[in-house]
Amino acid sequence: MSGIAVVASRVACGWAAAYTLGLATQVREARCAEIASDVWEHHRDIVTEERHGWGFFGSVFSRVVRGVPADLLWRVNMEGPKVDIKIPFERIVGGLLLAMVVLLMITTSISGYDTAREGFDGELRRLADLGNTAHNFNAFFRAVTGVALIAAGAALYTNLKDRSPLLSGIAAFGIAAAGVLALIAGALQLVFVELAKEYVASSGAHQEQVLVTARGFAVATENTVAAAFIALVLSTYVLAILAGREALVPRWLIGIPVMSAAIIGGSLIAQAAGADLEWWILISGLFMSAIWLVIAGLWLLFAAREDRIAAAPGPAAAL
Amino acid sequence: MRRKAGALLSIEIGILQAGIALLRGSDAEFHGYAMAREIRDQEGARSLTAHGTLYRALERLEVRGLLASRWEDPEIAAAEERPRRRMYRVTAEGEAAVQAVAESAQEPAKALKRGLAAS
Repeated sequence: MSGIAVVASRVACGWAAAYTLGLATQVREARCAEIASDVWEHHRDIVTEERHGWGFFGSVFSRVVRGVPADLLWRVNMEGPKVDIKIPFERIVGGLLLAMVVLLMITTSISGYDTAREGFDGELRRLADLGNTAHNFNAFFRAVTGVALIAAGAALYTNLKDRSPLLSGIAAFGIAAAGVLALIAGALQLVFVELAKEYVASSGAHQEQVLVTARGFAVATENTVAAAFIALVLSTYVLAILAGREALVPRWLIGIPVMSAAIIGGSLIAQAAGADLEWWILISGLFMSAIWLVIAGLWLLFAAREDRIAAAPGPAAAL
Repeated sequence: MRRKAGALLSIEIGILQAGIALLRGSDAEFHGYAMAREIRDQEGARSLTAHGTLYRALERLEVRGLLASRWEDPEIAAAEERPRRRMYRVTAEGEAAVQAVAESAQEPAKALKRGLAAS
């Protein structure tokens, strides 16, 4: 199997291993073996038809994603009435908020390329020097992050829709959109890596042409990650409003995202007006929204229920 | 929308029909990917059935006795250097269910003919 086929196979089998987690070994192994066999036969078909590995990756990935609802329903049906997991609502939301911090960091870690003409040659050579395993692992990790963000959005909506359908819907949409953007950024980066390899292997006018194309992909990756990041930060603000309104966390915590929004908004306005701001001012604003996620998540996970009740003046009316 | 008890979903009918078609073409048994490809070819679709949708439907059909399955001999898979296949076949009950679906699909046309003849 080629590198990209191995990644596709790992995505499909990794997802099967994830949704069968906790089931009887026999059931789990049977499902994973069946998916592995399917992907193998699929790959053999692609090779026979002499089609490109990217087509195979797209086809397998599409089959995995389209099948997610059926897989989850299958999992629920497998356990049936035996499932009696009583995790308090607050702990689920707290866990999801903490997971969002990690996902936010992973999503943004893809960016940071020096797309300036002078330094870009070094970026391409550095990427080309990395092994296939590193690239495949990176691509797999990014695919998982994108899917996890979509799942986190859905889970937050499911758990918060009774409190505020509108706010939870907006937040979930933002998180899911960030997930889709993270998947797109991951795919763009894969192309960028291929271009980096081609750049190193070529010379002359062709090399110059590859450099221009690769810069285009690098800029597109950066912008896609930025869009995902903005969607996540805005979703965090909406979650902060929701949590504050519903008194899920102490009301004073809303001060953190308010300050974050003020710093980011002020920075963007100042930049638009032509002011030369230090980069850390904007970053500190973004960092504060992550701080809110951590504090709110830990509070919901570990603070005593009595504390939350004491902090809560009473549930606000749902929007 | 909840489906009627005993009713078959379109994916399930598609699987049984494709399974019967494969049976007629000398393949008594089929594996999951072969089924996905057969459905795609029969329906003229561009993409293959999703993993989750396909294997959930296959399991439902097996539970209802319309399909039977077995894991192939590991030695065959090892000899061909590939993962083991889970082989399915349409049972007599499965064939009867497809026949019943085909007949019920013709029922409105028959009723219309009877109505026209009576008038």
